[in-house]
Amino acid sequence: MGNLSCPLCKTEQGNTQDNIKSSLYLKAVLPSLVDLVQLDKPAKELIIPANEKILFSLRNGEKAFLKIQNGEITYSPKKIETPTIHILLMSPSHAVQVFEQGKLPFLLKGFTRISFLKKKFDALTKRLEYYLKETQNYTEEEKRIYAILQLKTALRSAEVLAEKEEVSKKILAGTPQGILRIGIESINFESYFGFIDGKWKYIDRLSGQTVSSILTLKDLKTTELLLTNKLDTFAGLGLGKIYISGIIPIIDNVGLVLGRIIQYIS
Amino acid sequence: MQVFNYSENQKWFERATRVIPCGVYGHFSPAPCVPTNAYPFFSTRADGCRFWDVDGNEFIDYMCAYGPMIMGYHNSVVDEAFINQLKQADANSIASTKMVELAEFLVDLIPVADWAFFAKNGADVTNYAVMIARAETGKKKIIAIKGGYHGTAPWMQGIGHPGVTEEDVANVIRIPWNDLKALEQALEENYGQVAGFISSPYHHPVFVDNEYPAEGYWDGVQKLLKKHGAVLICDDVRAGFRLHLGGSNEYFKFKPDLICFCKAIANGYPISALVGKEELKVSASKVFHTGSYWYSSAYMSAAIANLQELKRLNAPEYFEKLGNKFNEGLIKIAKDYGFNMKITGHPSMAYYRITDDPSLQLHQRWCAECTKRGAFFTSHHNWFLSMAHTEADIQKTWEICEEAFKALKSST
Ligand SMILES: Cc1ncc(COP(=O)(O)O)c(C=O)c1O
Repeated sequence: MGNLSCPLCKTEQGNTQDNIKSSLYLKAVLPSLVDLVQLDKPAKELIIPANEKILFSLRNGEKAFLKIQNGEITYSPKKIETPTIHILLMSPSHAVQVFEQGKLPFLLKGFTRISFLKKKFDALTKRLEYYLKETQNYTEEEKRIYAILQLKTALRSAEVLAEKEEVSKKILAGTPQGILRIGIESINFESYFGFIDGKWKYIDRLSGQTVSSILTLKDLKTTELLLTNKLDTFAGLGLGKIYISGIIPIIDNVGLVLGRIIQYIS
Repeated sequence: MQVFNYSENQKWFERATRVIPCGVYGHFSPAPCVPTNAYPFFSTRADGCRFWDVDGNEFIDYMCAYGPMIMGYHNSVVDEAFINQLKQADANSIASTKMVELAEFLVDLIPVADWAFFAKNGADVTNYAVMIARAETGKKKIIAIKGGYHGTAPWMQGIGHPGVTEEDVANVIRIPWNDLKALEQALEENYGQVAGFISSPYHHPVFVDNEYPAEGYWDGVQKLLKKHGAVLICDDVRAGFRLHLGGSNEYFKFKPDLICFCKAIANGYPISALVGKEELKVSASKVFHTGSYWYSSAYMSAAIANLQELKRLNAPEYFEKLGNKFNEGLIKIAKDYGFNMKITGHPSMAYYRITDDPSLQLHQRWCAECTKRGAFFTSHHNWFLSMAHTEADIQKTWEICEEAFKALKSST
């Protein structure tokens, strides 16, 4: 299986660290494959003929279910159908080894599909890695995909941290409840992160809720700098590269949580 | 009414970003200015209750340097005291008698004070107060209010902020304002470990309506702290000398063990003070706390002159009168345009919020429209009045406010 993370990833000892990391892979990185095939033509072409249902399951823990059909992928955090391939991750640290170091997972089901896993799925995850890694010499279109994928993965990761990481939990416990809209103006992209049903969550599309804070990034360059932790956001505000309004503590505190992702995956 | 242009401000800001983190850092940074393009960043001149930016725009200043400016910029009495002492000596190798005179002045002025200590910034003295509480009690933990601001030392910041470790905040327990039960619970749960409780005299956080102490709150606090042998620290850095010249605790009728003063003490000249009760003087003497500029005597002279002027002019009464008048007028203008303006906190440093939009965006747009027309309002921090603000300034400000409401109406 391709290495889903970038070479900068730090693997630290400790259960909590691995616990959070494995959740990040299962709940934030794997779902990004859904976006990848929607946005990236080469990725879509890889899976056009495929018809697979892959279940990743952490022993006694979380799951990720990917359904690959008609050139599309859908994700669920639960097993919703009988899988054609079942990948067992023995422990959070095993999951981290599988995702970060390409260690072989245990295959419970799908021995006849090994070639799909080894070729197509591996290529697909490599394609995701291409975008989630540090900026390369992307084409204009790839820059757009990079920004969207990075931002969505970051927001999904923030949801994981909100649920699992002590510091993030404390930060968000002191945050006014509401919904933050994060947008990239030059490509007309918007995504959301907010407090719904008692939890801080990544929100793909709003269903009637009102936005309480707005963070707009002017262009792809600004987004890239922000996502790679290289942006002086205060300077960016004054220079008109970032625009904020509404309940600013939500933006500040979600920003603090987003800034913590790098401690786990980058 | 002319709407301001900020092209020179922008040029300077760009220049600043090349050599200064944030361009402009801290509470003067662009972050509280929403939207940033409605605000100036660099000033060239200030006088009375006005300042002028690098584009030549003139503002009636309702932030008053975020509190320090209380007599008006370039107040001749305060400036003269400063300059006269500067001519004698300022930085020196031994202390000035001005330090003794200022301490005596504060001990006379502030009923709780038996002694005074001087530093530069608010955080110098909030830090010192906490160290004294720990030295006095031999205990570690400090109880503070959620949303209460005491400066930027790591223990004063929230967990997760860059540069702050979990250990830095491990001994700080945050409880809600006006919640005696929570205080009691914190004291019980940390029995024998609490050195002190630090709080502003009334709750004046950013982004939310300010709140006065509930009936019986400070009484209850004092009783609980006494029972547990914990020190009561009043952080009067922001409100000090605005509500009452003897300390805002006199206004709310309670007696802290230590009071921190800073902002309005010397009309913008950098000096802060910690005053305390006799019982804590020995512990204060044991805590080593000092700084390169903490003995500068010209600032001490400025503080004496400033406090004398505030006393002579009965500043708190002036603020109460002018502030109430301004607020009543503003509420009415807002209402005429269909908006509800909620005003909380003391009239000398009130917090303003248009309640019609809980996301605050409407309020932010209105503050921006006012600022672009010459009334410098930020949208999430309490504003301030000074002795230099007059009825004529208030009148002019109302006109600006009205224009801004018109602009809001026409854009919605
Ligand atoms: C209530 C309060 N305490 C402490 C401080 C910290 O003062 P300084 O910024 O001078 O260190 C401030 C500053 O705004 C304040 O408002």
